[in-house]
Amino acid sequence: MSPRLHPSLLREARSIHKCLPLLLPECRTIQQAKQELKWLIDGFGSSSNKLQRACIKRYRHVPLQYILGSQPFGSLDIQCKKHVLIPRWETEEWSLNLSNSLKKSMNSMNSMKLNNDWNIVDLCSGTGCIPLLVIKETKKLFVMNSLKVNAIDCSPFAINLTNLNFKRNFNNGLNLKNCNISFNTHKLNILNEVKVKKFISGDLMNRKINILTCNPPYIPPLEFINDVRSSVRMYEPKLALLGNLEFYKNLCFTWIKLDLIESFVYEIGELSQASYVQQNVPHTWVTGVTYDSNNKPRCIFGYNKTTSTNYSTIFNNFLDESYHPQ
Amino acid sequence: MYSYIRRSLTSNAILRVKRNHLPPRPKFTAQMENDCTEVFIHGGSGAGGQKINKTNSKVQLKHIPTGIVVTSQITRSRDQNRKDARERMAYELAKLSTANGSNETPRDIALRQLKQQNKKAKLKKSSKKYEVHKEEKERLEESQRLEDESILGKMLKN
Repeated sequence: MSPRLHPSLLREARSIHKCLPLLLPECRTIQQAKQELKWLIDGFGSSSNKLQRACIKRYRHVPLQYILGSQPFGSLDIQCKKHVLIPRWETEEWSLNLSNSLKKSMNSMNSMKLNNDWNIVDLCSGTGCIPLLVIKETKKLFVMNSLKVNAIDCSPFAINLTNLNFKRNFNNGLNLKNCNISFNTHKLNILNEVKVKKFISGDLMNRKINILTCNPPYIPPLEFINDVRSSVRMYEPKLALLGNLEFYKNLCFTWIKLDLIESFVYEIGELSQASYVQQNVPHTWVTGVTYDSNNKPRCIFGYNKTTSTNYSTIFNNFLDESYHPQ
Repeated sequence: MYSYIRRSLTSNAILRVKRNHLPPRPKFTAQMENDCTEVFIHGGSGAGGQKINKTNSKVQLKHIPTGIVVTSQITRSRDQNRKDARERMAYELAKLSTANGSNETPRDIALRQLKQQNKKAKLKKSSKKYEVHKEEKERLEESQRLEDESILGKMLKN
């Protein structure tokens, strides 16, 4: 728990704006509270009752993104609603890096004549931020070649929100008219192997997945009580937060073992999750860990060496783009 | 005869600055990108990832040869903050490289002139307005005086 706020700080905030003290419990400093107040004023106007109501919500630790209804994610504007996890900057960082490395390597690969049609699947997609950013960043590459993107989540709220975000950011799909890109969402519990097999044989027509991305729930229940911020703990869905090795186990023993994918990128919370994956992938797979710019391990990636597509260029670029720990 | 008519044609008119024809903003070049180091300030080394939901993201850019540091956190988007920081850095570097050491880029000078121009125009307009008022006031006073005189005359006659 954070230390209590000094009354003089509250008084100082009150002298600047009457709503500012309400923002202090979440922001802690006047400077940051001012920043948030500016965004809230941009959203609700400066003199309305709405602003005060929004600040009171913030006082009760409701995430700012749920109050304002959106969160910028790269060049996208992602809508955020209750029951769906808010995209984090770490996720934004690595998915931008992934898109950039895809762009870079595709440009150099075109001369090599490689795989024409791409198949990307995102698990636990939530708001759909990762696949939508990948589409947005790489859409110019897929005019001749085709790109099929599937977003999977087990929550109906998430599926609805992903569809909404696709509609909003791509003008109902009209912005992709000149590109050979398709985007679909599926409500599916991926921990159920039978359903995964059905999805692969039905929706994907047994085609292999080129890249599997996922931001699985990775906070162990013990840490949930101690480390997690109250605004996250109280208002964001536990379904998208609580978990330890389930999804990494699912990656190793369903997606990789059944030979459904050629490469993957998974977000991680701690190194033990990465080392679990590294211990359980077959020897033909190359894996690596990337760090975020806050010097924390953030992603585990891996690819199959024996495939015809040259994944090593993509993932070497991905490593280069990522932050290098000091 | 001809030389008598001929006169030197000079003008004191200053070139007017136009709002939509200002000199462009300084650009951030690839060379500058190589000279800069970028740091993201996340506020301490606490929990990260899903455990915490940060709303702001401060970007700090440092130009190594000159040692200039700029920071930006105006928007909620890190992407836009990064762009903003680069714009500011380009501006700072342009200020450094001005020829006469006045610390003003061509755009700054033009903007200053534009401000002065607008101020002058405003002053001119308002002084014109006052002139009209003044004339009207004088006319009113004159008529009042005439009226008073006529009344006084009538009273003196009686």
